[in-house]
Amino acid sequence: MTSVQDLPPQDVQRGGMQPPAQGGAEPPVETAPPLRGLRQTGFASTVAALLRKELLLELRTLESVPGMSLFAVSTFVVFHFALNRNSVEGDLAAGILWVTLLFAAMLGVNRLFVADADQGGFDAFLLAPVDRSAMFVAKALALLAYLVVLELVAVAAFALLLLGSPLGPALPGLLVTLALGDIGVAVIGTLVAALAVRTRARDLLGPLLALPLFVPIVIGGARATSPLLVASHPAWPALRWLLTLGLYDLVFGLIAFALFDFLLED
Amino acid sequence: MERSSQPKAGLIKRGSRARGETPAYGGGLRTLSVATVIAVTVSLSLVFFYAPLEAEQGFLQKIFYVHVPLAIVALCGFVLGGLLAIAHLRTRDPRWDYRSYVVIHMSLIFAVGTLITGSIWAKGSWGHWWVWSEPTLVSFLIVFLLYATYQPLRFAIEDPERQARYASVFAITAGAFVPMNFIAVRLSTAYLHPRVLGSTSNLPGPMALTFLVSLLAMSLLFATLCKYELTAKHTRAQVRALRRRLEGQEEVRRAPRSAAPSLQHVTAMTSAPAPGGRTTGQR
Amino acid sequence: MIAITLAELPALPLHTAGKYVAGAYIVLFALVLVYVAIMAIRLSRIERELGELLACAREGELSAGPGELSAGPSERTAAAGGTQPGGLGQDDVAQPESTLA
Repeated sequence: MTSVQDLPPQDVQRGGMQPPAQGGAEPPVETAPPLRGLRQTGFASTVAALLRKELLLELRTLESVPGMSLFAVSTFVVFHFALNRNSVEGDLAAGILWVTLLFAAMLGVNRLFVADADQGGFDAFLLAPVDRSAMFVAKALALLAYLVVLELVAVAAFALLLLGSPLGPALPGLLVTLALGDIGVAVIGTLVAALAVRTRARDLLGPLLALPLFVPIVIGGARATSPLLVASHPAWPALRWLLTLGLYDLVFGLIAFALFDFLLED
Repeated sequence: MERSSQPKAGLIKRGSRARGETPAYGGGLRTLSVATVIAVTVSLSLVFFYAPLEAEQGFLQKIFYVHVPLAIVALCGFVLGGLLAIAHLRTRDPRWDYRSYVVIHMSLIFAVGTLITGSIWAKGSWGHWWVWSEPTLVSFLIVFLLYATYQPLRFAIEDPERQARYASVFAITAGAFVPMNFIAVRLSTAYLHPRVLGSTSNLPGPMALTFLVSLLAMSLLFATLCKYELTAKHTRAQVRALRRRLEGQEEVRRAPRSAAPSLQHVTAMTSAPAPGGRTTGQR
Repeated sequence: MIAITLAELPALPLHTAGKYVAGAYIVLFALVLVYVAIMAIRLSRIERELGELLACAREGELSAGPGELSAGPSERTAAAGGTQPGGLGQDDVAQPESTLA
């Protein structure tokens, strides 16, 4: 397991070399090697370092994404037998897709902070002179990346196995809706994962807390997607649902970002 | 033997509250409860003797005067719980977490009441115990499912300070969720059925008055019950602290892990003079 | 006028609707009463504990003096605390009442 302090120093200090547009409020300063680790690093560079750690870990251990994808495909098979249908369209198709994505996402959410909690990653992070909310942004972005990969597999499998209408024309609208929904799932999933990971019943509390919070995302996502998954359909999902999703993402993104700090101090 | 005029030496400090050691929650309780009794009586009289029968639903519509105030008060209670949690996170004073806990608990009970009365109304109107077409009821189901996890979350964390902190984070998130959830659910049902049960706009005069009085009565009831709960828990903590002082730390039975705030601020303050004051406020 | 309104009721006949309305109000009443009952139980428990503490405090005073509070009361309540408060004698119960008067 790599922690922030194990990463090569130039990664952690990258903020000092970047132009101001990326590096937060800090002017670009040449960092002399003896000053490493003594000054506050920029927010963006912290996020970048943490995100890189997350993605590296995931690539090396492959513990979340393949499991999530496999779970999604298996769920489609289960739905085929449970609903006794060869192909689905419209409301049913949107429902199956969103429910499957949600439950597969819960698998990833459950695993999100487990390594940090069990192996001291929180303590190492708290010792570093960085803005603590950077961990929230990094973890949410990592979860978002996992969800994107999940959806590549799941939507393809869905189109292959169960979807009755052609996917191609519906794809742009579907992708936009999925993107907005993914942001919401990532934000809420990260917050709930952080809440649940250091409690006693972490595997139970995570889904229990997250599912009601996901309901508006399901409402917006499914309602936006269902007209797209029929043979003759409008090219674009209704704006109302996209706005709902966007508003939800914004509000909860801000709230989770503000509250995350309080979960880490110990 | 007549002993009432002499305070026990060193045990019952008459002036302790004057020195501001511990807060007292029962201050306005009598006034509040009297006001509640009056308001509830007046509102019930208005509902059954003054408000006219509604044209569409007839006598069944009278449930409106208990269902909708329950709903509004429960929702405001949830949001209030979130605001109190914000105060807790800002000031780190455990008393705010205590108030937040009691308010959320009471709102959850009112939410259950909303669901039951709404279900009865649905059965009377539509013949089914549950209807998906009523957005208030559906939103309440989701909100209830969310807040039902508040207690298990608290119970799953043993350290009292961390429990309070995590619970506050949850209360703020859930408090922000409540209005967003209502908007989302209302959007999703708007184009399926017209609102049947709970329209509060365009009420004729007498009905509007009855509704407002009922709302006031329900709010007062909520406030009274919350204050009652705050006072009762606090009294219990004070008795425990007193026992600890009189009998020494070992005598107090170590309470099992609990979901409720441990009121350490009470036990800490009143057990301070005891030797080796150990403030393990497990309730 | 009322007869016309009553004749128009679509949802339920009046005598059936009355049951549902009564049911809803009874639910509210029951919730409040359950709460009153819970509070009553808590209150009686607090009263009992305070009675024990007062007895314990008096024990401490009657024995050697204010400096030896710890020994006597803790033994006494260790014996009485495990059992229910019925263990306190009749005069012990009567005396706290007089001091509270």
